[in-house]
Amino acid sequence: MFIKMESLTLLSRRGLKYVAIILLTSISCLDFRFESEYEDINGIYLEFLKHYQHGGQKLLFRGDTGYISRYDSLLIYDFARVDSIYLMDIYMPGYQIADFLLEGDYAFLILPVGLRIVDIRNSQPHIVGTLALQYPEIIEKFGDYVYIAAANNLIITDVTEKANPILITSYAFDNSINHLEVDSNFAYILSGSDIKILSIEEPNAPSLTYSLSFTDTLPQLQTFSKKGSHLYVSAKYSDSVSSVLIAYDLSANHTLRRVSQMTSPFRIRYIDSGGPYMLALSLSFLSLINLEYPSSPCVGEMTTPGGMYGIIHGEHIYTLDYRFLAIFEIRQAE
Amino acid sequence: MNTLLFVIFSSTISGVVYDEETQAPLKAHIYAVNADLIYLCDSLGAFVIPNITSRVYEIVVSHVGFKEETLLVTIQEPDTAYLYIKLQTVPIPVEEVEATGERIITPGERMLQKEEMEVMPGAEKNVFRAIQMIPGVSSASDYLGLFYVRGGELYENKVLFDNVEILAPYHYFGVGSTFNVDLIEDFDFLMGAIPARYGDAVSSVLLLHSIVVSEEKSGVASVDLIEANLTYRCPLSENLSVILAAKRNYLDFLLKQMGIVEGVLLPYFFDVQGKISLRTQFGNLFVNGLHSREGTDIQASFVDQTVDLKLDGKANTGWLGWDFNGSDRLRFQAYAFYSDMDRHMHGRGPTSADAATEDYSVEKYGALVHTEYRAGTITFALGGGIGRYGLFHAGAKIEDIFYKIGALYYSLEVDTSDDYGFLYAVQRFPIFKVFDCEIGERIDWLPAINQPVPSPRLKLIYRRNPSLFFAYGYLFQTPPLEYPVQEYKPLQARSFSMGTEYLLRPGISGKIELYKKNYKNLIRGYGDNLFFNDGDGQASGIELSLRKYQVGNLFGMISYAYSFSERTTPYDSAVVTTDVHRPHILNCFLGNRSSSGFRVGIQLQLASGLAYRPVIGSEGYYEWSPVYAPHKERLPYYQRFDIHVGREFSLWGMRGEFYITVLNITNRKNIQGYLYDWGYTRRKAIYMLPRVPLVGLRIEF
Repeated sequence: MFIKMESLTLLSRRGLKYVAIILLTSISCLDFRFESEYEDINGIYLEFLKHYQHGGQKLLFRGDTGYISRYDSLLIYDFARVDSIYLMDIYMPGYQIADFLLEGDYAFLILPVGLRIVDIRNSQPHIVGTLALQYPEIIEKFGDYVYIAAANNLIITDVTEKANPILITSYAFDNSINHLEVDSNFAYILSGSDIKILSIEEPNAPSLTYSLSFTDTLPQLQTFSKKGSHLYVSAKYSDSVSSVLIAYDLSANHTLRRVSQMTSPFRIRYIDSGGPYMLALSLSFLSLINLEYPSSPCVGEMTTPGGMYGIIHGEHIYTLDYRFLAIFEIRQAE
Repeated sequence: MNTLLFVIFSSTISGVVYDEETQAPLKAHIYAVNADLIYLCDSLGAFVIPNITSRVYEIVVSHVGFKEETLLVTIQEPDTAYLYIKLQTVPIPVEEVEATGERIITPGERMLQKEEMEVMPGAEKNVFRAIQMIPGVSSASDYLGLFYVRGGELYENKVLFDNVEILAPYHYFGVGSTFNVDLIEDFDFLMGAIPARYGDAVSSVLLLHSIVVSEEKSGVASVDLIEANLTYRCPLSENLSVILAAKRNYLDFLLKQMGIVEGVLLPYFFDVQGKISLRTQFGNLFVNGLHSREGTDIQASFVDQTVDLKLDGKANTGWLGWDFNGSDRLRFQAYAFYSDMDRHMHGRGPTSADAATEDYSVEKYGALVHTEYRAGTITFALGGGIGRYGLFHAGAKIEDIFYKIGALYYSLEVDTSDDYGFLYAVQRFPIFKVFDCEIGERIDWLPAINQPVPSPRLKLIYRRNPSLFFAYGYLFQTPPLEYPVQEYKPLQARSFSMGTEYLLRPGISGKIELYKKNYKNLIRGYGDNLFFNDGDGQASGIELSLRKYQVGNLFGMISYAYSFSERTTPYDSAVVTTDVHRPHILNCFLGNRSSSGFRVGIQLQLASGLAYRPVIGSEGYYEWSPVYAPHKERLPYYQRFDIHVGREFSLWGMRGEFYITVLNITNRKNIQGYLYDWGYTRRKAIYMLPRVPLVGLRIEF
């Protein structure tokens, strides 16, 4: 085999042509990206905005006005600008406020002496009606009735006439009531280590429809919250510092059917599921529980600090303990 | 007489002869007048006349049915000249005859030929990439050549090379294959009506056929960016010949020799295969062997997390075969084989906190016979085999850690060995001259199964144009024994398919096939090492395809498959859609061979995204664990467009091809899955192959 210089030139020209094609192709192909940027899986994240040294036990809103119960005072703040809230007024009922709720132009206060209904329409709140009770602690309202937990009794009161609240009936439990929620037909009570479901279709004749007992071998109950057809119970194992959130399905004749259990990174002391997300709090942590699949609750977002009480109002989360009010914003992830 | 004047430097005349009208290659006769020698073109129409010494060389090109051409080639200096010779057709007067041809149609069977695979982008070196283009076949990833057929799992497919099962056909969980593609002539892929001859597979049987022995020495050497292949055929005598093939990736070796990498074993694989054939008056005897090795010991960063992998694997398959054609009516085949595979892995995936170890050994040996006898239009087949199968497994299935981008929390411990056997009988016969009927019965004694399992199979074909076909049968398979269950039961699939095929014009056919499969005794798992052998599932679908066979220069296939599939898996005890199931798959492959020496292949695939279970949040105390949505969702749709361009050339008497393949030309970011941050609040998408150029060189000598 014998190759002449002219052959080599031809070959080298062709070779150069192919090399050029290869190089151009390779350079144009250089985009070796194997991964994307991180994206938020639930589309939101929490950003701490501010904290104020305005502590308290409970915070409720009426428009841009916030009402904070603190010992024997009801502090009224303007929350129009969350980064600069200011105190507008103070209502002092003369007793420690155990609990309260707002509806329309009225505040329903639970005091050691009973129920007090206060008109809060103008800058000088005044008493509209009262009902004497012994050491009530928790209040809930649905329709024209308020439901008050006093020791181990559930007291149902008709407040159609704010000036004249009428005690309708009382239902006694074996143990003190630690948590209470109501909807149109049922009251849900945490009493001792039991969860009780009371039918209140006829407020003057409530009847027990279901009871779920937790013995010493099962988790200690902390609190619960109802959202939709599910009940979420926070419990703590006696031999562990961790906490669990147990989801129950209420759809089968309003009995509790356990569907899932989520291990919580902290001891959930408070749950609020009034808004689009479920807010779970410990003293140190705050988390939003994802209820996209109600039977599979899970932690969506988590941050610090926590608190004794929390509420989601608009795009903000407010947490309270005795010393501080902390405000977080729920932001949409890009 | 045509006269061609070449003012070039030539000592060899080579070229290609083709039909002027259809552009099809012709196996023409080349009469070299000066040397008084006749040369024959090969199946691609190519010829070579060496040792040209005359300045003016006369050649006569002829082929039955074509006008003879005489060429004068004028040569000035020694070199190689390449000729493209077109022949014109000349009608041959014949008596009118009535043609009653027999069309062979097999439900659920697909085949591809060598030249189609050679221009299929990505399949130039890996036959399993070509399988992924077949309607009814789904793939899990661009990185892996694994395939899933009609709702089935990976382990439900069987790969046979010249009728012997290969236990380890993949390298690195499917990144490469152990077969040298130059050793493969073509393959048959049986999805629906699997004949009774083949068993122990409920999804598919892939039959790879090796190249035939040649009467002269020849070989193929090829190299691309990843691996180098060599195949060599050599007749040792009139009746004895040998084929040898070897391949290895070489970057690890190269980088080490260059001193760029030290102290690390980069991923490598190595395969060597050989076949010795002896032709006797009592039939053909042959000895085959396949030896594969793979290994690595690396620690690498992968998407900002550390991945460890230590792998040492080897596999061997050897078999003796005897193929006897007693007459036109009788054929007898017998095989004795031994096959084993050992794999030791130690790895940690992107999301695994702890490393896992896996030891996996399989051994299978036996003997099998097959007899066919044709009496007129009726064919009988009988066969059977016996052998032993052994499996040892310890540790987690590490491939799942990487493949599913997740972590496994259980260990699979098994050490078992058992005999197996099978018998089958098949009868094929015509009905009323227009129907072909095939009835088959197979009985298997599967390993670890206490009783024999019969699997009847029926095929009915209407032999006209358009043809109709119908197939029904039961398929059984040994369950994956690495999953411990209380009592093993054979995986079962009841398969039904029907369809039609229409020959639109010579070389172009359209096919519609519907199928339904019901699975029983599938493995289902609850996690925590708890498995049961009583799961079920179902799959159904329709496959439409239009194919142009390789007649002329243009060939290819367009297909669309719609399928529905739900089943239990070792990872999911509920009947759910599997992760790799894609309801819609559109495939388009076109290949072209031009007269100027270019070979082009383009391939487009559009498919539904893989199914996955999204993480919706987390739970945990000391460390976070993901919480998954109760229902699966689908990743964005998959799209990939590839192109292969090759240029044939002749050099120093050898034919070659240089090619460039670009995978994923549009650089579509097909999502493989998601990786989550430590708190499972954010995720990032992991993409499949980006736009990747590959170059390769292939020389035939």
